[in-house]
Amino acid sequence: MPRSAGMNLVFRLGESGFSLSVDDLVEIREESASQLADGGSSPVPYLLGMLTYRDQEIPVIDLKGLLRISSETDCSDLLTLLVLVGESGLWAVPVSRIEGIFPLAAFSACRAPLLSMLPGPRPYNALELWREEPLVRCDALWLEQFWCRP
Amino acid sequence: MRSQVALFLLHGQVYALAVEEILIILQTPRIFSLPLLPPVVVGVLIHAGEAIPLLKPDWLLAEPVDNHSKFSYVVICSTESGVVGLPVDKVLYIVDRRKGRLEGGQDTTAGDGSGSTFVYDQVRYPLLDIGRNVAELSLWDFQHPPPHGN
Repeated sequence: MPRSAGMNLVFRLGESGFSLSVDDLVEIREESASQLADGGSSPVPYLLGMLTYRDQEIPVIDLKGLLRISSETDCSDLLTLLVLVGESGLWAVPVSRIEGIFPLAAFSACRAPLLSMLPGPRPYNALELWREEPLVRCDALWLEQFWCRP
Repeated sequence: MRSQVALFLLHGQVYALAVEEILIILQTPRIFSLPLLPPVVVGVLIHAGEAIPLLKPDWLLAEPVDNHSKFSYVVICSTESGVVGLPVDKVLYIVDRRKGRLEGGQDTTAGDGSGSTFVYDQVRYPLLDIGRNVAELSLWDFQHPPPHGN
């Protein structure tokens, strides 16, 4: 896979904004929630179901649940999914909204001393500014360890 | 060192703060929601490129209040443990310490007046110990939140 495209995806979970390098992203697609296969007795936490993707079954993870973001506004059956590159394969997360893909020049560093003083490890450790808004900086490999079984 | 106390009104209640802890007072800054913040933090605001946590009103006040009520200003305070924002409806007075009296605690010239009250013009203003409060934020672990954690 080509690396370092120099672009970030901006998306939302609820009201919170997030950024993700497009290097971590395989595809953005829409799927019906009812089309997800049951994960069975899988011990994977935050598993919403399994998605058939390019002839393989990949886990769809409830990132909102992992981050404890309220899901009360979600009532649509149609999911906007980000398919991400993980250590052990592809995985997907539903998001509330896609803002777009922007060049790195659209982002700047945002100091967040509070995050560094909180006990870790945590699903995210950094913020960056985009249009004067702090975004949670996501890393697919780092996030994966908070739901993936060893 | 300045020897002044700032007196504030918030949701019908009053509190006091040592002036030397105040960096700036901002009018209605935009507040952003971020996941996995300590439950006493209502969100963050951006000031000088830094994400500053805004404390919930009922963590500051003696009587319970609605944490989602509007407020007019945010007082940005600097302590040894970090920078935080405090919600305020109105800045009542900034007074010389010698024009009031301190009750129930040690002298607060170093900002260590935990549990003390500043009495001015026959009104009792709880004197906040922001440094101690900010230090308590670092004890919150998202993996082991208290029952009322966010």
